Amino acid sequence: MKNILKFAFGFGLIAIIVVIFYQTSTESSSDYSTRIYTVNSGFGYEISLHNKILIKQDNIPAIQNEIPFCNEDDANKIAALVIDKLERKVAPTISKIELQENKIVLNCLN
Amino acid sequence: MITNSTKVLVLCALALSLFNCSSDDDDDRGNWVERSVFDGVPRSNVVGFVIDELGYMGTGYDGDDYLVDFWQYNIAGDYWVQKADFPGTERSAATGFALDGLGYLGTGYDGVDELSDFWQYNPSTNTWTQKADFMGGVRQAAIGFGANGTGYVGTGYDGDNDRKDFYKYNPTTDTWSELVGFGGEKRRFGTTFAIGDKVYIGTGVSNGLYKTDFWEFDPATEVFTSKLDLDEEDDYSITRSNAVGFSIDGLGYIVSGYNGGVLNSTWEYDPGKDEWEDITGLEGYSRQDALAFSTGTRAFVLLGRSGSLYLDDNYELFPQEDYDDED
Repeated sequence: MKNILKFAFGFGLIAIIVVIFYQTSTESSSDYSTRIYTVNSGFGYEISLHNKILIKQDNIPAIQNEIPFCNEDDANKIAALVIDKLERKVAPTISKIELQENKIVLNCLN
Repeated sequence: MITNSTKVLVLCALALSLFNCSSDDDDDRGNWVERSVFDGVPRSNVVGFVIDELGYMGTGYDGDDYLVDFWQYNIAGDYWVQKADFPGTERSAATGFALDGLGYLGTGYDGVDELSDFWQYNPSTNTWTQKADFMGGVRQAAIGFGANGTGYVGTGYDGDNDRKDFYKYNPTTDTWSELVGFGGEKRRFGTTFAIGDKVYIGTGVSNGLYKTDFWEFDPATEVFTSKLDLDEEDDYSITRSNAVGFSIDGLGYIVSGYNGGVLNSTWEYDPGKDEWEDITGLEGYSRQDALAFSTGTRAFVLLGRSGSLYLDDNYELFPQEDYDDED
């Protein structure tokens, strides 16, 4: 009986390790890639899936008017958020609240 | 005697197979090619329009929430750009149309109430401006189109009744006025497409009855003319609601929708002959409440739902090519 318990415990442990290894190995190799570029004296981002452009953002999403990101850091933050959503298979929509939460500068052109 | 009946059977089988072959040939015309999608942004009852070879779409319902986000689809580059959020209440089953380089989006359903507000989108500045409320009152699932410098919105559901009234919008004066003369029946979730300078209206449902009337509207004279009924021929299965309509190279198309179940069939309308032909059905899931983008020479069918499964794919139709299941 003890042996059976030990076997079950060992088998369970191996199964958990295999699952964790599998998850981390799939997570680390993202299918998506980002490119930050300069545009209209600001920054934009491009998100590609298997080297094909999927989303191209010359301007900050969700807000009115055509305003590029003021700095590379802001563009990077929002691009990372979009990829996170794509990987979680939820809508890659950025809301105005998320722009606030990430302290994205909206008025550097003025 | 046995040989005779065998002969008859063989002849019947031959005739049947010939018949099948010829209808297969019809079905073989038209090919759908999958285009760029966000993996996992399912939504339905989205509204959109095309301006300068760019598709715009937004609002809609994802099964949990009513939405306000608004996107541009770059048809030439096959990629997406998130634009300014629609500033009105989140909604589904709104009406949208393009008119003289500007987009219009209004009416719809926010989950509780039907709506009557109307907004203009300027693609060159990425800005929304509220315009005069729709004159017909609150409404969802209406038909809308822009033609000859005027916007037209009619039919739909007001929360109590299906409607058949039409109104026209003058963008210069920002005013609505009633348009008389639509001889069709009341309906919701009808569809429309434009070929050349004419607009075609049909399909939709009211009180569980799928509408069979089909109309041509001439924006120059504002006269509606009745065309061949959608159930005129025995093999026509065009009647449906929640479909999409568009045109490619002078022919009209009605794709997907609902009639007792979700549909994927594609019917092609020839305005010269006033006849319909069944071509290759949408190669993705059968669906309702999808969206179509049409430039007049290229067209895409995207999003929608199949029961409670919300869809996130995008297909371009090549009606004159042969069916190819490899793309």
